[in-house]
Amino acid sequence: MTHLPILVIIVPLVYAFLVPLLDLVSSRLRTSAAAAVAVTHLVFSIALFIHVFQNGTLEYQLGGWDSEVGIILYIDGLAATFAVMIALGTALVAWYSLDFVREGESKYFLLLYIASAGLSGAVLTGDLFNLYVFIEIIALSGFALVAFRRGFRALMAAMRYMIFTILSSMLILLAIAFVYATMGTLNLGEIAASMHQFDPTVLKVSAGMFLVGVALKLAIVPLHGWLPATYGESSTPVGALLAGVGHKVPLYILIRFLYFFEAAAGEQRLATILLGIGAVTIAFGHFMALGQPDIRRVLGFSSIAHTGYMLVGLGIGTPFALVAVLFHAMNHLIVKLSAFFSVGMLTRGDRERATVLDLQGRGAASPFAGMAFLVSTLALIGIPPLGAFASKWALIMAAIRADHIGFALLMIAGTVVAAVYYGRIGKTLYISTDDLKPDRSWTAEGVLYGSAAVVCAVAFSFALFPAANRILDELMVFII
Amino acid sequence: MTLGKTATLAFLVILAVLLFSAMGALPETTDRMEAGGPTWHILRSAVPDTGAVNLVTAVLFDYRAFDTLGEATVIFTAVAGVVLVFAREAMVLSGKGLSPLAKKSMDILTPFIALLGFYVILFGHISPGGGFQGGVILASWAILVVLIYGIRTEEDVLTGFVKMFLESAGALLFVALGAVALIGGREFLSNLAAGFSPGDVGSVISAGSIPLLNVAIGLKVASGLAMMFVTMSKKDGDS
Amino acid sequence: MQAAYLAVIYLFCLGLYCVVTEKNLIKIAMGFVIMEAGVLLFLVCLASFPDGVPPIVLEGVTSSSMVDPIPHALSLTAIVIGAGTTGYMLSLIIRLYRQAGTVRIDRMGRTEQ
Repeated sequence: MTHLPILVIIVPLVYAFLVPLLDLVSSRLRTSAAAAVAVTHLVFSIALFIHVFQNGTLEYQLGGWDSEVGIILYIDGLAATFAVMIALGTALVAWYSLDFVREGESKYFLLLYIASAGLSGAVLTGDLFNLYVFIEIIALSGFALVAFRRGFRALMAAMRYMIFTILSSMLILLAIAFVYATMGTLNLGEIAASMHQFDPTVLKVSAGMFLVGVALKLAIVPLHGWLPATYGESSTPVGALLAGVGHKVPLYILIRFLYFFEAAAGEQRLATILLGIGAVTIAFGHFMALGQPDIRRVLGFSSIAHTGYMLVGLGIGTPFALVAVLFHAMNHLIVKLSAFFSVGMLTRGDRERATVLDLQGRGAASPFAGMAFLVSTLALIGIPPLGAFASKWALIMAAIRADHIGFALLMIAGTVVAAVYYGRIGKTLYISTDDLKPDRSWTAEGVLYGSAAVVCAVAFSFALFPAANRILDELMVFII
Repeated sequence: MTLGKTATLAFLVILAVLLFSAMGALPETTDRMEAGGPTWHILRSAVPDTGAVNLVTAVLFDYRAFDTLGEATVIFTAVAGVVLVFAREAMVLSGKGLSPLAKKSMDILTPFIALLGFYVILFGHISPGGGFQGGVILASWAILVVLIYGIRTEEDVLTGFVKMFLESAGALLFVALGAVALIGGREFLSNLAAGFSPGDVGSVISAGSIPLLNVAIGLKVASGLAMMFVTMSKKDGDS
Repeated sequence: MQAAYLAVIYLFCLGLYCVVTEKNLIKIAMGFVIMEAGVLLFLVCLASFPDGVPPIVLEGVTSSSMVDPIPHALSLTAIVIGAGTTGYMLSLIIRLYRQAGTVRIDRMGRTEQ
């Protein structure tokens, strides 16, 4: 028996509990411990992934009770993959924050690691009510992190985020009560196995409430109202955490749910709904991003659009489409983080908001951040050599193969729109303004050539793929 | 009544009808409980399994103790969030407290409230009650003290160390008790299987780690709710 | 049991109506508490049946006459989570009120500039 699953959850949690104590000792100790815990968490997650990869699905019986009476952690390929993604994402956010957190803001790391433990727990747990508990942990730490710098607008954004999120928690809790009333158990595996016990009405109502709850958290279009303000007003690492990492948990829940639902009848209608909502979400996200002055909001709306891509992939429902969705989720995680981080570095000086105009000429002033931002926007658009291109392309191919040509065209059109709004930002970044030094154009060009070189290098490594490709194939087979 | 409100009402009527039809189609409680599953098992073998006579406590602190850890985490997070929201607010005097009469009555009441709180926590595994309930009673005691004596008292008491202790001790104790099992090679949060003594079933010292976990949760809930109240009753120091 | 379900639905929908239509943040918070009360009542209903006794093992109580302990445990957990969330929400509202001078969300938008 291995204790890895519980360690992945407990390590960040214990650190969070210890923060008040560490703070009494010294704030430097607290910060360096934060960096160490981020590494440990990541190492444990990767070890868990390797363990599951080698030995197959793992069940960890908390308190020694089996799935019949107690809570188990259930880790299959999908859960292990998401756990690694979450650990990687939170570790990156934590390292970025080492520099960001000022003296006397000890609560920041506490909340960050609570969120980290909650996110890991939500993907590892095999119990429905336990999932709800972890969702609440994520939500509460999320509110507190959004309100962290306490500007009035941030508080308003936190409030709005809170109203949407609590609403979704209530719906999910009621749906869980219905499931328990029917099945008498809360174990996910057993619920999936005896889906047929459900009365059709109960199934529709509870599944509907559950899905609406998850959709609220995913910010699918009619229910997206909280997202732009939340991403726009929260500070850089928090925005990165919510957009890159926090977004993955409802996605994971949705994927899990669709797998379970396959056992029940009426799956086709759900697929149609997913496709339709996904298409609307893509169109809306890209359209709204076009006119946004605030960069973080642009990133937020682009997140909405990317959620739409993933929904369409899930709606297509073929194994290939699912692989594409997972691949896209991974790329989205990394790319969103780097986009947020580079925006944070470009707009340093701690402005509450960063508009596109604020970025004027900043690319030349801080070449590294400018290049990072360029590369991540290129990836978000889906320019060929980058990973996000590959996953977007896979999604489009999946749509074509499943005879959903319209959706493929929509995704391509979305890419063009994304190119327009990111192109606008990219241009502003390197636009010459009068108050900059004359040698700026030289730097700017250097940066552009540099980023082009990086892009080509990545492309080249993609071309050298056979070996890497096989590993990836194997991974995907294992995950699915 | 505006259009929006009418639409909301119409939507809610549909929702209510849907919920009602779904609730009507649910199986009878007794049928569900007889059909096996966790309830069936717990009702029959919880006492030998956990040593706790109160089955709700057995579920909360043994079968589903992980949920309880999560819920302690929620309280911990909420307290941290509230403290953060009011971080820059000065703790100023919010009144000299109530009349001497109220203070005297409070003096008389204090031991009884505290006794009730500790009783409910410590007897949680053999009678109705437990860490949550007792914790709330103790928190209400703390809130009464603040209301009656004024907030300056709290300021005198809540030094850095005490504050830290109140914030973390309960949650850390819970994790530590869960981790004891790891040393013995058992799963996290194992109770009797990890060597905690079942004791004399039905007496106070029984049910292995359950009373200890109850104390941890009681500490966490009491200190968490009291901290939240005290923090929120700070006056606005900015203006 | 049907009557209790009606109360559950009434509370849930009342809370939802409050949350959706109210502009006053305190009332929105109350709406959430009412919704939660509905869900908790539902959980307790799920546990009980006529002539059920509390699930505490005593002399002369058979296990088949005890109510289901699991929903009680779930609702306890949900209550504490709800308390934490509501507490945090109220603290945000206090903070917003001190900065904006109002608890109405539609008027807060105007003071934003």
